[in-house]
Amino acid sequence: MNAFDHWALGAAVFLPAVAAGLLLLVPRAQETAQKAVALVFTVATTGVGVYLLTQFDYGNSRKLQFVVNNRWIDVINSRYHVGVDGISLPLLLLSMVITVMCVVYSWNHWPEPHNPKAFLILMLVLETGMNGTFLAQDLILFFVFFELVLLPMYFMIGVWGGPNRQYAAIKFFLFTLFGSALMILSFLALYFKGGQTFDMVALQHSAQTIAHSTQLLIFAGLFMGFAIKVPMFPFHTWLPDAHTEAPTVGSVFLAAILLKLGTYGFVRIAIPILPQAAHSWAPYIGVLAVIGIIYGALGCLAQRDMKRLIAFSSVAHMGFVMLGIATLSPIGINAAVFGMVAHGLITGMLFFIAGSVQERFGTRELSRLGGMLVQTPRMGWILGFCAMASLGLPGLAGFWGEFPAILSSYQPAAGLSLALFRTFMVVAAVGTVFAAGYLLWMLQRAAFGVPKAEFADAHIHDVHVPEYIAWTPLLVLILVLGLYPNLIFHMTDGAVHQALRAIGT
Amino acid sequence: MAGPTPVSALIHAATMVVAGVYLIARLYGVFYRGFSIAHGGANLVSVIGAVTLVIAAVLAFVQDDIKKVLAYSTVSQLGYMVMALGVGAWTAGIFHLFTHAFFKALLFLGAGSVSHAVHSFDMKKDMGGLRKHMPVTFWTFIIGSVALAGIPPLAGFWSKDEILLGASRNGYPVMVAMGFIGAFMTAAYMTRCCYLTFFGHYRGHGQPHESPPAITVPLGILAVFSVLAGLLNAPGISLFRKWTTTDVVERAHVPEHAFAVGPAALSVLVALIGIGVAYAYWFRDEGRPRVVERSSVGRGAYRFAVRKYYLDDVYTGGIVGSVKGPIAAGMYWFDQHVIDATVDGVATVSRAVAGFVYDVIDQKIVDGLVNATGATAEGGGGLLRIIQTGRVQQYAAILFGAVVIFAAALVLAT
Repeated sequence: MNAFDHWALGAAVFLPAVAAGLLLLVPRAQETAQKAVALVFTVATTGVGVYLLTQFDYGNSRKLQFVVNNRWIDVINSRYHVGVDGISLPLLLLSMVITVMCVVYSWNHWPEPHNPKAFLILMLVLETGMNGTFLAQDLILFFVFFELVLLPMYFMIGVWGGPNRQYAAIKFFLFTLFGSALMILSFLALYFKGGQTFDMVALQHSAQTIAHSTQLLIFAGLFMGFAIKVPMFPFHTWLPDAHTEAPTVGSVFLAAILLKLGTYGFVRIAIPILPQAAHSWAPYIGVLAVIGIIYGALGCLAQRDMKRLIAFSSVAHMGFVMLGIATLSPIGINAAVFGMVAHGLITGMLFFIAGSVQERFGTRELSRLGGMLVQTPRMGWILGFCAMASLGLPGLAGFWGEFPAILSSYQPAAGLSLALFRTFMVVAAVGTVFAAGYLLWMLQRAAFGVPKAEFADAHIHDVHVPEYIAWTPLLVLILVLGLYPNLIFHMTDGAVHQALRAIGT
Repeated sequence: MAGPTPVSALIHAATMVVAGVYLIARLYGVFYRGFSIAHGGANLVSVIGAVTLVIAAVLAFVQDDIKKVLAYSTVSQLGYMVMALGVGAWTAGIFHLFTHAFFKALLFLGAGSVSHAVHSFDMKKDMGGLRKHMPVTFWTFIIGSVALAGIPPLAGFWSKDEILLGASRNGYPVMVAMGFIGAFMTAAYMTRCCYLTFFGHYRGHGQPHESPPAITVPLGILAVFSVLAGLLNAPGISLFRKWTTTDVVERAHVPEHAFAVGPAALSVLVALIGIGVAYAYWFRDEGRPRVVERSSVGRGAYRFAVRKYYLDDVYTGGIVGSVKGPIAAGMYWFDQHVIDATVDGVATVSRAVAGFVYDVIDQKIVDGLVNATGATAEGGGGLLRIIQTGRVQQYAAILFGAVVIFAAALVLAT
């Protein structure tokens, strides 16, 4: 491994942190310098990501690559062990790309109170946490990054958020932290029962010897930590408030990436390390997943606030991801990872648009909106495109998150009840009809028809240049991944098989 | 159908709506075996096709919007296609799909041409007598209607006749009957449609004139196809069958029947009777009150058909309305007031417990103990302070008394 390869993952994780440190030194008044520093460093981080993409050995996507394994905390045998495989790579890139787009989007539109320096620092710390979570191969290291994302998000919501931000911020923080507390208990249990190591790779072998009943309990702790983050029914109630009250960029980060930390944890930690427990738990995860699909959809249909509607749609989409995971089959987990990427791009875009709508019209109430295709046609078209992508229209990325997940439910892993999972399949398919329902209804209320009297004479800007620059790569990716999903699947397939090798499909 | 006319002409005549028929035809081996189509009698596919055929034809009678007539006509013809596949007349079914595309697209574009002239789609209010103003549109529309009705040698006859022949030869008498009823009704409602649009006197307020060549040339081209396309599968030529037959169909031994004059003549007769009845009802009886206005049964039946058998009310009002209304609202109420209430309840209980722990246990009990030690010290000090009077004589007296007591103790101890 040459020198750059050795430092690549470190750069991916810590370049944003360096940028945050640099930003602390930039005076508060010099906004252009702040924005430039942030943009340069986030683009550089994405450059590292692109480097990883080109240098990744796709034939060996099941193996961890660019591995760095150094001493860190000897007293508890926790090492600085990072590596990237086929599952981490697309999520890492998603995180990097979204961060750049958020910096670009915010260029001239900072939420009140106006403080670009602080906001950018928080974004960069958030990126460090997100990237680190996707790369960590040691449980303590994972935990550090997993928790690191909570703090910037708390401040983003609590300071720059909407009218109910205090409640939403603290609810998000405490609820997620509660899950993490149970998760760290499980990590400790794995340490003590799995041979005094926190290393994820080593635990995949040594944890097999843990008694089944203990495994079930450990999995329960992991489940709580990750399920609250996903979020799964019934632990989802922090999400609508957090998403609605967060500033636009905060919602984008939350929806596009933070939710994926939970599902990623299932695929990276819970299933490979505790396959027998995963097998026992899978039916219950499946039940909660399909409940989430229908429940999220019905919740969407009841909403009058555009952002809250999109928030509930996240619950529904993550239901599809979790269904794919619950089947413990290669198709299912491939679908889940693809669904994570697709949902990140699509729902990120939807939240961007919701933020732009709010900024122009001053409201997100669907009853007051209308006629966007008349007043701001380009934004209306982009909203339509994203709505189609979100409901799973074939040809766009969302389809490949939903359809293979439903397909995988027909043939779950050996030993799982066929009747149960095929029932899930039918329910999930009905869920796609609901998805079409709420998205098209939202589109109809917001974009079709004529503008309401309230805004008919208002001078409403169409899409600005920063928005174009921020949105175009995402829209292109949604289309390209929809037409050629193998771009993701050939990354993930090897690693998915590796993660499932102890399940014995 | 509410969309622009060219869109309707394309997707609602020829392409999108036939996707289902195409799927059944493509996977025909599955359906042929699975539904035992070779046995005859009745099966799900043929029953659905036949029922669709008749129900939609009834609805086409009561429409005032010309495009709606054509839309329900399409639904009815799709019923023909599905019924054909259901009775084992495979080639006939997809041949009807093929020919139907030509004359239905022609009819839709003709409707578009008419609306271009009168700026409306309402036959009763804004059309009538247009054959004098729009001859090309008129004649091409008539050609399309005759093709749809199934009069030889136009396209519709060849495909429709094959369907009815297949149904009767493969042992589906009920479907044959419904097919004939459908043929009768098709001829009749198209006659009504042509009458209301092109005959009689003009009821609108504009100056209708023929459409420009951009509209009439496609009409002409489609009219030519509507006349000639049927000959592709005429007996003796059978090119269409040769082109489309798949080895799935051949291996399943789906029967093909030769053209027979008897049934063909019967279907033509039925169509002509349909035209004749409609002619008598509308052309000749113009002005006199109709049966649907005269009798209460007629009015009730009319209303039932106009309201599309109240199916829309069930679907949109009942099913969709309840899901997006009370059910979704109920679920959201549950989310906010039960689940989220539990979450908030945890917070409230935690705060209450914390308050109790702080106010009672910490402040009163633990801190109370701490304060009690202080109070004890203070109290003890307060008691001891009483001795500090400042009077030297008292100090000397106490000192003397203490010495006496200690001396006495010392003496007694030794």
